[in-house]
Amino acid sequence: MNDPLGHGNCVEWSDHIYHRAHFDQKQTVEEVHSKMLSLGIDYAAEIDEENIPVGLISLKRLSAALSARYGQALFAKKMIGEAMVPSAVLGYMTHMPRDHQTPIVIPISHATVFNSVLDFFTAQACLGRRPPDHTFDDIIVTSDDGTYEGMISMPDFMKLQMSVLHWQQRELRQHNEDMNRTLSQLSQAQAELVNSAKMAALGELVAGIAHEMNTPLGVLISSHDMIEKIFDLLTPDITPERRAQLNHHLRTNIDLGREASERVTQIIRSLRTFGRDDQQEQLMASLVDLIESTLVLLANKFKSSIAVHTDLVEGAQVLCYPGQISQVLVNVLTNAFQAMQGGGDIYIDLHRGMDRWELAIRDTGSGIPVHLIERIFDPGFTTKGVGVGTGLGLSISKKIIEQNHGGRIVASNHPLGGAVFLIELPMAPRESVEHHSSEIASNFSV
Amino acid sequence: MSRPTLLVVDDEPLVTQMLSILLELNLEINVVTTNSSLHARDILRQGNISLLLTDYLMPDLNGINLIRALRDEGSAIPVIVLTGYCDEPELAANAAVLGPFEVIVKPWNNEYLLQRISAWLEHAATVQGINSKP
Repeated sequence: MNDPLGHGNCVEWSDHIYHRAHFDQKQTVEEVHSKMLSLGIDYAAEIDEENIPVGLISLKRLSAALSARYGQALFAKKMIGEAMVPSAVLGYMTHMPRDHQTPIVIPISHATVFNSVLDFFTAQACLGRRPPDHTFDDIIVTSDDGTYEGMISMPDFMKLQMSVLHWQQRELRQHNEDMNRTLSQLSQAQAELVNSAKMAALGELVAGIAHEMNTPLGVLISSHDMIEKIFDLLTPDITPERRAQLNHHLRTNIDLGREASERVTQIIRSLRTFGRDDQQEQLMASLVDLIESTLVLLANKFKSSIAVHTDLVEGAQVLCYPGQISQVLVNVLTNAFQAMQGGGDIYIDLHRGMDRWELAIRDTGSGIPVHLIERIFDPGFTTKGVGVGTGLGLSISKKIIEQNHGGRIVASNHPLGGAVFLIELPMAPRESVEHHSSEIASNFSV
Repeated sequence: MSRPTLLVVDDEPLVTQMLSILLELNLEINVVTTNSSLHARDILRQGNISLLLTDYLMPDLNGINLIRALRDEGSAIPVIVLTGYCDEPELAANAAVLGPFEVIVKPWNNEYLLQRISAWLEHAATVQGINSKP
């Protein structure tokens, strides 16, 4: 079966395209009629010796002509070329001259898509070559050189077009479903990536955090033992001076124990903020609290060589995923630390912008080479050695700030040297702040 | 015989305060504390310290650098490194050149710490006794 419109891969055409009929002008009407009957063909195209289509005829019309009174006698032995009309309009079973109306012949190059066929009809109508209403026109489809390829009627063409449209819609729907599925998988993968990076960062912080917790924990345990011991020493027979001294030690131990337990609590709270599952909805949080708790996690790392200077405006509330913001702060501050292996200063300034909180984190390292500034947020980009960084920290930070929070993060070099990361986060709407005020307390208490 | 002097170095005042009370109440020793490793180095240079009890991670000089400074002065006094995290690669790598030292991990046990301090002070006294014999 022919596929004259070249769309065999789109729909099942075989139900719609008419059988190709090789009739030439020397065959009689009777012969053509019986051949059409035997082949089950409804329409036939007449083609000349060079296989160029010259006329159309329908079985219905042919049968009507032959079965009319004297029809057999008048038409049966005539050559088909004389009986066929050169018209594409069915029902024109007349003896019009061949050049009066020619069938619509569409080269395949014009008919490769349905819209092109319609455009072709429209153009023909505009040129006055076809009547504007061509609803019942039949189409002969030819190849570019004019060779007959097949036929189709306009109603069937319209049906075909509908089926193609349905097919396209189905394909589009399927495509959309695939895209949505891919998008959802991508979002999931990104969330997992963010979480993996967070866990990796946490892994690197563990040694320092362990150190940072064990110090107050040592004081806490020690003070508890000492209190017990001092109680044993407070016997009735000791001198008042000794009693006063032991009481003083007792008070000091209680105070040290309290301070140590507060220190442990603060670290656990910071860890909890950093490690919280941010898959759910955003929460109202204080940027100052987030910065300070991040510094608690990094305190041990920074202690020996970095001096941190903060200038933080109070009341900076943001609607955010607190764990993700902590993650960004850890990433940027760790980068600053790594840029200053010999030690240095980190300046953290938080101030109020027009409608955003502006957080600038500056270090006194060697700065970012100018030719790398553009690439610094690219995934996988790192200047650190193998095994030092994943190269994902800043790209994930950018995703967190810009995609997840509608903010902005940019890197630049400070005129006095060192790198500056500017992080902008939208201010929380006032009503949001009020609405969430009770939530903050419950979410940030241990 | 005069009481030995122990130097406690930790950048965390909570720790130096705690250890100061613990040691003075339990041992017949003098305790000197400081929260600055640079200050500790100056104290050690004066040469009357019998035992150094130091934190590992501190601003300026870390525990190892402090021990190095001590050894550079020709001192062989024992050192206890009291650290919050024992897996310090630098510590392990330098173990051979750091002289007599021991690592005790925070959170410490008072009894064990006192026992080790006493043992090291005894060791120091023995070494000093041997060295002072003609």
